[in-house]
Amino acid sequence: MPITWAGLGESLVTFTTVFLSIFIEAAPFLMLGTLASGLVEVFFNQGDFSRLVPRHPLAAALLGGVLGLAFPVCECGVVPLARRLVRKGLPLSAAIAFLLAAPVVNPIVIASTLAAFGPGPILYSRLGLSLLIAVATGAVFAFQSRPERLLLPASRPVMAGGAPDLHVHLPAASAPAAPLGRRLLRVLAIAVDEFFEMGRYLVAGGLLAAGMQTVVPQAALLGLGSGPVVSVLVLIALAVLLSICSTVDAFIALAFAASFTPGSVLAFLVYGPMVDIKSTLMFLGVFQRRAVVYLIVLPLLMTLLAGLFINLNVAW
Amino acid sequence: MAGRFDRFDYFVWAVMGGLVLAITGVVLAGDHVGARVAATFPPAAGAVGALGPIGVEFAQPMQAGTAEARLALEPAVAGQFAWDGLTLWFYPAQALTPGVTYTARLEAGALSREGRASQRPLAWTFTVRAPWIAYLASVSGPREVWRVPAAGGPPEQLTHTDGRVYDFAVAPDGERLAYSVVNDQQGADLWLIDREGRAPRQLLACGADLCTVPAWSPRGDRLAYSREPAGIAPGAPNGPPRVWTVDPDTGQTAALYQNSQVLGYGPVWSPDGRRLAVFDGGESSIRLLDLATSQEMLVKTLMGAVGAWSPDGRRMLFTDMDLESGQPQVTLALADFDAQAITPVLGADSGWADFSVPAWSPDGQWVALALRSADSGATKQLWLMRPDGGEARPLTRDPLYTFGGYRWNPWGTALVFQRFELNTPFAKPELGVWDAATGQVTMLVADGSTPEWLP
Repeated sequence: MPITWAGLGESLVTFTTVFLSIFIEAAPFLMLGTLASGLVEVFFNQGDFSRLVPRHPLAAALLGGVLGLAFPVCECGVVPLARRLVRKGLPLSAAIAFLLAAPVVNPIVIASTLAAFGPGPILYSRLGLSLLIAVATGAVFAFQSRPERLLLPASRPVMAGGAPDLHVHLPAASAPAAPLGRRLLRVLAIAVDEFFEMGRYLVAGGLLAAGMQTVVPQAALLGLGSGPVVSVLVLIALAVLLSICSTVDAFIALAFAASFTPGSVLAFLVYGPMVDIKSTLMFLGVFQRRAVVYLIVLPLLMTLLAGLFINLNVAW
Repeated sequence: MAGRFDRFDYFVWAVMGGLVLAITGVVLAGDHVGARVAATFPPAAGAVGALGPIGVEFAQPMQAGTAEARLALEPAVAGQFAWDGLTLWFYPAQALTPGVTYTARLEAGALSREGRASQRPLAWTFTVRAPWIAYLASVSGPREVWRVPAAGGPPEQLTHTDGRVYDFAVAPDGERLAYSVVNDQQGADLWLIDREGRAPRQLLACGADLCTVPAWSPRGDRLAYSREPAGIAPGAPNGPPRVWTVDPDTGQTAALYQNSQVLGYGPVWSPDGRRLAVFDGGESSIRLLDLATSQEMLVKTLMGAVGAWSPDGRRMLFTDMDLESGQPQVTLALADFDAQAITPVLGADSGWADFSVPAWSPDGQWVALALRSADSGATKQLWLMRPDGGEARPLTRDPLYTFGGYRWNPWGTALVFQRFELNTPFAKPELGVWDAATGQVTMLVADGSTPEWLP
């Protein structure tokens, strides 16, 4: 097909629209996440989490998996918060489980999924599978006896050789003596600093996702097929490509429910919030590249397994 | 990457390998679910009307032929298939028999659009309801839709509109009724209600327009109706009628003819649903419109009403007025849509003084009609004859009553009718049933009109 100026103009409009929609949708949630990160930094002391979290890796991962109920953040906001929790001493297994589960196992996403699909198997399976996959991935990461090998220096706990702070050079305000106003000011300073730091990855991820959506239209992906195996691959690819915020993705998935298999719709709802283009870019600001690959591939294989098993063995 | 690989990396690779193996195993184990059925109509041990339909709702889009080839009834019944989204409907060619327990079977192997085969055969039983008769009552007071068992029994009121019902129509499957209700703006709205009189809902709010004479398509997926626009000023008469159609599920409505100059009233669907007949008062003609091709046939008549479709939907018996003989006389003719020809059946020389639009029996072998012979006074009696006018014989011989409103039941074994005593002041129309097997007439309702079978 020949390239025309009109076609290029249309593609540019699509690219801009998609990028802006991703960025505008995600930015407030990133801001919430960085605010939560600032609150954790200022109001929790180093080692608080290591005392609160069970020592057993699986139990720690399980706790991390349900931590989203207390920190309702989507996949954009969860990254800086998870990094902050790790720096504060949360075990890596719990942090990984939190990172992957919180975008789904939180009150806002539970409510939006309930609104879209009602109180039925999709809602329960989404919650259950997200928790299971997140906890399992977290448990796998618990086998790394030296977690700092998987983290970038800025993400490592201070005691494990991490930087003492994230670019914020205000006087230490987390000391109990500091007045509340000063501590809140420090929360905001950390949040702003972190917002711009993680925002770079969000912008880069948004640009990449917009570029991919411009080059690979949704219709082309959906046209690949809706069979029990292919449909799972198609909707996982679409979830990654669309990079939709987990707070609204249930309504997008609802549109596929009539023509795609239950397993594929679930895969879309489970894997999309864990891994998409923009969150992958944000992972790269926290983890070593090898760990990012594991964070992408392990949930992918588990989601595939679950989606295929449901499609081929479960009638609902 | 930070440094070389360690035991953790090997462990992750092992986990990944295990997951890949598990995925491969799940795929190789094959499909244990296949194409699935979400619901059946009627549900197991349920009941349907004489005309069905029987339905299977699949959970996914299907390859139509593979599902149709596997669906059958026992005892065997011929019929036609139609799809509505994910649901396959089977429409029996002949009415199902009341009292018989039918078994519907869907053999395994029906393929979804992605090639998944249904794994298990499905079978469910159902029975056929005994028919009821729906009618309007009372004639002298507030009008509501009622129903009464065709075999006799206490009548039941279906609608509760403060007596504002104008007219009604029973859906072919007998599951619901459409009826028009006069509103506060002196227009008429269209409503739907189920066969038990439950869940009334407004289908169309017509404001000051008169939306009346609803007519169900044979598949029950469309309603045609007459719409007379409000007058140009309050109290002014309504404008001329035009025929519209409406989707009974969504309420989406549109004029049948885009040309607003085409008038129409009293729509009647052909039994195959391909054609729609309306009476165009502007042209003094019946318009027979092929909905698929938009081909049209105009049949001139001065009687102001549509005729009766043959069961195959290709012909129509209609009445006309012969003004050329000594005195005006009603005639009967047959319009053949395929041949675009009109054939006289009973002319002014037939010896009959007057007759009404006939009712074609379901098998197409007979027509029932109300006749006034030269020696029967002012009343019309029910007669039976061949569609060509042959083998005519009277069904009633009661000169005190005039008969009308006759309709065959789905099996062609009985006629419901209304009769009216002419010589008695303030007489009310009565409803009865003529049994073809015994020739007996059973009166059912003492004050009712416009009866319709409710299968």
